[in-house]
Amino acid sequence: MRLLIVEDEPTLRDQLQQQLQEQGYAVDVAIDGREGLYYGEETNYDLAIIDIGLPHINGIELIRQLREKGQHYPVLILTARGEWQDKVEGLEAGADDYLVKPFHHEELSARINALLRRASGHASPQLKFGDIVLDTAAKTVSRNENLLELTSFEYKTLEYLVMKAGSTISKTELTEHLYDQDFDRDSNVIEVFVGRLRKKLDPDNSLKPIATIRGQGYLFNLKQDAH
Amino acid sequence: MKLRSLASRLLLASALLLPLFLGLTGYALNLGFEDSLEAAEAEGLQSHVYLLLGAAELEGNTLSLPEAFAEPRFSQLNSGLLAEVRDQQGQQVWLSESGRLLVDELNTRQAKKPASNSPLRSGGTQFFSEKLADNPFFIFNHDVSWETSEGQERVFRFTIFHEQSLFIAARSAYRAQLWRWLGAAAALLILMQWLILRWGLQPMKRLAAELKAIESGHHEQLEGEYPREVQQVTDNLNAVITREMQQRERYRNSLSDLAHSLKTPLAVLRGSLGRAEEREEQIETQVQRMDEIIGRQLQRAITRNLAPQNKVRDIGQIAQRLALALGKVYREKDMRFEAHVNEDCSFNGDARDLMEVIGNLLENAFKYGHKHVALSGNIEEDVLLIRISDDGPGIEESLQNDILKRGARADTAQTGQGIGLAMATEIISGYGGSLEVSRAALGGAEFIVSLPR
Repeated sequence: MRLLIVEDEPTLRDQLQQQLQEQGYAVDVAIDGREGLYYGEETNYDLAIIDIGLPHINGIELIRQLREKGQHYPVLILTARGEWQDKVEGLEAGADDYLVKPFHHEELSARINALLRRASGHASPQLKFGDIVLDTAAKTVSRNENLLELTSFEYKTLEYLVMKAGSTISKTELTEHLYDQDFDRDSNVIEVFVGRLRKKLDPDNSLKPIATIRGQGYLFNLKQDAH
Repeated sequence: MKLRSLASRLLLASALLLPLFLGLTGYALNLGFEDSLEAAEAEGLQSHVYLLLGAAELEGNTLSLPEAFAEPRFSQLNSGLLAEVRDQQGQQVWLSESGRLLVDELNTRQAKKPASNSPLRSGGTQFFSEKLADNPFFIFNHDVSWETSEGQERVFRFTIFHEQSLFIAARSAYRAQLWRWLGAAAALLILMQWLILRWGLQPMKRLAAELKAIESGHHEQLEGEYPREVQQVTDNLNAVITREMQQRERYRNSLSDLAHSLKTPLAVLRGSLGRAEEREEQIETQVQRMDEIIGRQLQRAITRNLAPQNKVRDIGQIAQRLALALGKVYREKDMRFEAHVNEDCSFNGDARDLMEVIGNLLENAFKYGHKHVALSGNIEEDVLLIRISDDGPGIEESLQNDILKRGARADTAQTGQGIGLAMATEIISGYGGSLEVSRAALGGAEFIVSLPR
């Protein structure tokens, strides 16, 4: 998952970036509204975190412009004053949730998870596909109630495919949404991850959760259980 | 030059206007006086003519007049009053004794200035001024026709000359008197005006002195009795001063609240410095406490606006906007929101404050409610009542009081941002209102905001 942070306060920006990278997100940062607009227009992020009080273009205006340019990814606004006027204006401009500064890391993670889940159309953090259960809050995967040991990148690859279940994801898209920009983008690495994932999820090769669409990419094709 | 004082402006204006006004008055009075003097003069000369006419007799072709008259000045040399009679040809037929030394002048005049000797016309009179031997004279002509014993008609011109020296003396005496009086009146008027101004502007001076006393801290309000026009100003000033003082009082209270309430968590932090295992948890709790304190005070400082003249009428619209925004945040709940706000509902205060109150309460309703949130607004006995209810678990009766206390939260399981309800309570009490909790008809909690109008 690739996130955009637009925040002008350097300490908070660095903290956010570090925290979210540790949680396995690919993170881009912009230091003001103009840069935020540039990044936000260029890249199809999975989520953006935008501070309301930004130089050059304020957060509310930035969100409005991004929405006008047709970007639909979820937006979480950060507000220092916590006034309803700001929150309502931000939500009216196209944001999806707000967080009042200062906030806990856990609070931010919960909001991000909820927004990403919502964007993929899943209501609960626990996604069940028969025997396989993906817990997006705990970032764990289990099969028949046995926790699978996945590396962070394996988990991220699976989560992304699950979030986009039903559509074919190219290797390029996977790389873009999983890696920070300066990481190695060798697409063979993706093949390796997917190969290992298949082995761990489906050792006896009975479920075939991840299909390879030749020349196009991968498709997570298990159906989610009804609630 | 800019005149800074009202009194000197008014005085300068009247010092400029008064001479103009008095000058015109003097001119008019002088003119009137001269006119009436001249009218009296003409009348006097006319009566002299009648005197002469009464004494004159036509014998044959010659007109004869006696030596002496009831008016002695006609017989007195250089008396300043003389008379002559001329016939149609301009020939002098008679001259009074008093004019004997002026015979030549009179004949020259007759020869030189026929203009002033218009053709004779029986019964015609003329009155005018003219110089004779370098002295100004009033001259009165009266033309009379006589029938001779032969039945012929003859016309004579009787002319009276009266020296103007007396007239001029009277006129200048009058003028001198007039200007003296007008000057005195002007001085008196300016003096009176100055006194009136001083008297009239006295309240302003008092006001300035009182304001100075307030500024230096000797007084708190403008207390003096003022004229009605000034009273409006002082009343408004008093309102402003009161508001300022309340504001100052509030800032002082907020600051000391802030200082005191921050000291406790700091003390706890300092106390826990020695014990490593307690430290992290304590720091976390106390930092959160300090953050909440700062947030609350900050919000109080920003949002509170005491201006009572604001009137918020679109309460329903504010609620709808908030509900729409919250509906987005709690999208997966697919909340049904109903608002019934009576048309006569209005709130005397700041729209942002109202938004804070409704926003914080609605947020709770959306957070704890399952499928349904309702808001109603109406006026009861001049109190604005806003009810916000949900179909959530509600609040147990035993907790209903606690939850309204600062920062208390009945449910710590739900992640929240802590101070919403406390903020709402604070704002509401700032407007002299109250907040109550009870069980809603929908099954969950109902918050009732009462705001006096």
